[in-house]
Amino acid sequence: MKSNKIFVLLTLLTLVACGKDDSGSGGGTGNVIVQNAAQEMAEATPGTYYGVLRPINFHSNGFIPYGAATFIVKDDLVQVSTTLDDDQPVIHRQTLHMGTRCPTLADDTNGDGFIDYDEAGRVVGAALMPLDGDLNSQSVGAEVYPKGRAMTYQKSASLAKINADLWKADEDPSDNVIKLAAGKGIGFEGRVVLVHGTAANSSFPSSLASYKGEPAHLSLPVVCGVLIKTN
Amino acid sequence: MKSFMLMAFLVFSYAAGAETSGDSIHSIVRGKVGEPHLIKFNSGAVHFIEHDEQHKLAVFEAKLKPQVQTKMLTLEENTEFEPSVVPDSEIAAIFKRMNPYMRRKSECSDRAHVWAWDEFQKSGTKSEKAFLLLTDTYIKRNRYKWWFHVAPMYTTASGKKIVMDHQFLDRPVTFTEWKNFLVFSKRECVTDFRFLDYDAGADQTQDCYIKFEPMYYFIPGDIGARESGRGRTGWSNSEVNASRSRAFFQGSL
Repeated sequence: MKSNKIFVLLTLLTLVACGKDDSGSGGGTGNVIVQNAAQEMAEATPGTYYGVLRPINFHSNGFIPYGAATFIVKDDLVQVSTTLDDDQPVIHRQTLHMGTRCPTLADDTNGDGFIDYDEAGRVVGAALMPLDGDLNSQSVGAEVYPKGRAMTYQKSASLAKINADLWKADEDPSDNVIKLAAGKGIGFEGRVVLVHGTAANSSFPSSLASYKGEPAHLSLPVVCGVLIKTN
Repeated sequence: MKSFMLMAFLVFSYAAGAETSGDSIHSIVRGKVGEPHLIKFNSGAVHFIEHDEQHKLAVFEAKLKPQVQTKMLTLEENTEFEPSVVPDSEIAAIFKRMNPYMRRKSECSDRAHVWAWDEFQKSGTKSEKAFLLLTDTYIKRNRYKWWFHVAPMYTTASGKKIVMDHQFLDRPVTFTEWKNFLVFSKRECVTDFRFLDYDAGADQTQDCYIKFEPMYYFIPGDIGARESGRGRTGWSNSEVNASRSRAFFQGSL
């Protein structure tokens, strides 16, 4: 399972539901909030969902990255493509999240001038679909992400298989990847795509949080976008 | 011999790769000892050539077209162009009308040109372009990969200058906000200057320069052309069409 810390999940789910600043987890309400967020999510219907991926940390490496994400649903087929213009030859972890907005500098809670992994996570919410090596499953294809200075990612999947996987029991409730209640299908409208990863830079502060202890520059959020249905 | 040929090929490939489609070299700034040389492209991109890479520098210098010496005229101000005054309440609608379908690799000058032209066609609104120019010292200090950036700018009834940079920001912002996103030091930019003087070296104690130009202006070189007596007073449809094909993969929503 693509795992992460439980406190991130709980605090960000609080944000999704309440729109409040990070104020602690409150584990007793977490599951209710997960259910509420999932219930509010409109299930995917045939059409195109598009989002401009805009820079989050403008001054991370002298290049301002940007791109786009497109989700096309046609019958049972889900086609996902992301593009990124960047000049950093690193792996770009990318995920579809439950949240409804992208982080801004106002979300830099530790004031170090960067939106780091945890700060972004509190805004974009739980991970619903890692855009990795296999979209049909949260676990299969894990950690297989596009790499490159300017990357184009394209994968297809079955909507039925995606949902079936989302209805399975959560193998690791402590991570930030959530499951959905059985019968509740995935939705793309208003969801957030977040892409991470830039090159090491000696000017990065030591305060940057990272994913599972990896070097912080690989976890650094670089672009983000909110999907809207265009047709 | 083989290694020489390979090196020559690699150098040529590097130079060719550095220039994106339709991109050309604006200028070359030779670095002092220990400093990188800067290759500035008309797209706004900057390539760093380290001081010991003279062979690469030579390739770029060979590709740099000689500047045509123009007779310097008195600075001609844009007295004939008046940007439209837009109701503040209209700003959000203009932003929403902007074409969001940017190609993966698109240049700010192409995007800004099409956005400004599209809005002019839709509503008749005359916008300006905000040209942000960075100094060589700023570029080197931050290893910044761009020497200029441009976006459409609108004047509102309340007197605000609002920049719409749809690729980088998800909302309209004031000029100062836009500048502060792009200039990390957040220092004020020089506003009273000639582009030709900036291009000749500028005041390197500064971080940035800013010019507000009529919507017809495409790249910073056009500002220099105006200062040399060849100002722009209208659109070039072929130029807009070429920008559209380079920067967007479909029309507006």
